[in-house]
Amino acid sequence: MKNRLKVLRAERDWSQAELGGRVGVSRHAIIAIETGKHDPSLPLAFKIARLFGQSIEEIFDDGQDD
Amino acid sequence: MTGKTTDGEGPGVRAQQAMKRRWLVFQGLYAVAATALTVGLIMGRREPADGFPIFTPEAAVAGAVLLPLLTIVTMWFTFRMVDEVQRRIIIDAWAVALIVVMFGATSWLFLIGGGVVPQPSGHVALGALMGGAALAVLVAAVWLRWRRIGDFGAV
Repeated sequence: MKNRLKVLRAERDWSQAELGGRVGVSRHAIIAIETGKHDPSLPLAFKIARLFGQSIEEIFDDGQDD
Repeated sequence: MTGKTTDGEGPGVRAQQAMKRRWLVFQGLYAVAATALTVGLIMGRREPADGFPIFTPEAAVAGAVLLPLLTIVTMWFTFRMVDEVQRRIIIDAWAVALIVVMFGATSWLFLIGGGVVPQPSGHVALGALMGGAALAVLVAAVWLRWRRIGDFGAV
């Protein structure tokens, strides 16, 4: 699943560790999500969306345009 | 929203450091418990000259109860402490190991049935299955971590 995590993180000048700590996961989890190797669970997606003040759909893209 | 600029600052980095400290404490406690169990089992061994059985009945029952208990407690704490990516890697590695052992054992049985390989003793069969499962978990966990995270670090 594509996502805008890296861009949003860069806008705030946060490291992967910083973002991970803010949403309660490891830096490795952020790496896996940013590279699309892991789709976050719904609770984690909500946490990330709340942290950035955006909706889940604005951050994550499942590639289904409808 | 307050953003911090370096790895040495920010509530997120501090939370990460706290998580790492908790993980280290947990690993230390596990090492102590595993060492105590191992030492206890070694002390419960019979004289080697006496041959089989290896353990006294008390040590054997204690090992049979405590080893699975330690494993279950360890897994429970591990699953609570790691995040969802690491948890998924562990679960997938266990699933891979289960499949490897099931198909490995089936193939082995066929080969034994056909006389292609000699019939093993019960101890050899158990040891091979357990060792194979442990190796499969380890290899799968390392490989999955490399695929998903990009390094070979401890899971």
